[in-house]
Amino acid sequence: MYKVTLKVRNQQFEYNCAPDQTPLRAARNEFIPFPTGCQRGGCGMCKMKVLEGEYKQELERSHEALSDEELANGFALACCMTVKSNLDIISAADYEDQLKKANLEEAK
Amino acid sequence: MTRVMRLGRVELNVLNLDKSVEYYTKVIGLEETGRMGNSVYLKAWDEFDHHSLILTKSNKAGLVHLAFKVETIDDLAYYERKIEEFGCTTTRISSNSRLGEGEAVHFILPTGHHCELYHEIGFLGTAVGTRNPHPWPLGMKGIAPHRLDHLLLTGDDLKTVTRFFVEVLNFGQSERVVTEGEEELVGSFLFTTNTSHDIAFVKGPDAKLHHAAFGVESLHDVFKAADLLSMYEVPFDVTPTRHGISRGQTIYFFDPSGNRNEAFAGGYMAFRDMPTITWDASKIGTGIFYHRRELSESFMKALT
Ligand code: FES
Ligand SMILES: [Fe+2]
Repeated sequence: MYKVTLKVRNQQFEYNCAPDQTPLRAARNEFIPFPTGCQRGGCGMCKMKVLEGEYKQELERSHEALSDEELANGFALACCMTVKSNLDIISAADYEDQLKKANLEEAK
Repeated sequence: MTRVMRLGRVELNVLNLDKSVEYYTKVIGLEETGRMGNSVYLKAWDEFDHHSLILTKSNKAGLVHLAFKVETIDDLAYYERKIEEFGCTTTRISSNSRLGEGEAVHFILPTGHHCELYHEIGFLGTAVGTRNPHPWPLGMKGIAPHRLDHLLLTGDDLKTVTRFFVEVLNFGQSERVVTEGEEELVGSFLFTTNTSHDIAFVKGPDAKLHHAAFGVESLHDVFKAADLLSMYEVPFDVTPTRHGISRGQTIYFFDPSGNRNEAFAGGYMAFRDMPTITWDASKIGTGIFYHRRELSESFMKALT
């Protein structure tokens, strides 16, 4: 079992994830409101930025949901990845909000 | 009278052709009717034209094009002119650009979706034939819908796309969803057959697919579809329920590329002179899911 720390919808959750589970499935099993759509790598609703940890992303996915550039920059689709260590993730939407806030701070 | 007969075909992008063909033949229960390049052609058992679904290998999911069949070959020139008059650019797609297809008129809808009109397409016949037919063929696989039923697409300017379908293609509008004071149109259901909708739009990003629906006979078939989807571990979006809009019975699920599918049964008959039904946006939850009476995040946001 690995520990996943998830930031999403301005909240933080911690939960366990088995090595053969997706972090999306593991969260849903604990009633954590993980953004979920197709669960097939097609819609991009489950897109996360991985802040820390090892994982394996299924590469056959919609490049509109997760581009090669995003993949290289540590973004992942939580419905089609498996966890290889403890993981620290933040939803792509929350990550963007954080960046915006940080930029605003800097501009001050 | 020139007429658009029906939604004749839909082409979807798929991430893995083999997996997708397996799903659409084994789980949905369509029949493969041919292959050309990176595309596989399929039809439902009760359809008689060469194909209604084309799966094309891509690195993304979503809609490649949709096409309506018109009644005569001369209708192509007629609609071509009307489409141009509306302000959309048309181009001709030559015969046999795809398998079994004659010439088509291509244009882009005001919502950004690639659309075609065609008349000529190969004929294969239904699985039960036309002489003393049985009601359904022996050895059906999967959900085994009768036909491709309708599409739901998303777009920004629903007023213009509705005007396009009504004024140019002579569709009727069976239902609509409006915000307070009728300021904004956020849902529009359009028909050219006697079904409650052949194509529908909901407010959202342009050029995206919400779902492609296959028509089954009854609520029982919707329920059986649900059983099959669990047996094959296909991810659900929504388990069997009723729509307020259309009154149809429904189940939503995802194909192996994340394109949403629906098995749809029932719904009222639509007539050209029927009054359009209006839903207030505040009642959209009931309109879409009549029992649950609220929308879900996945249904609203998962698009391909
Ligand atoms: S839920 Fe659709 S890509 Fe993950
Ligand atoms: Fe539908």
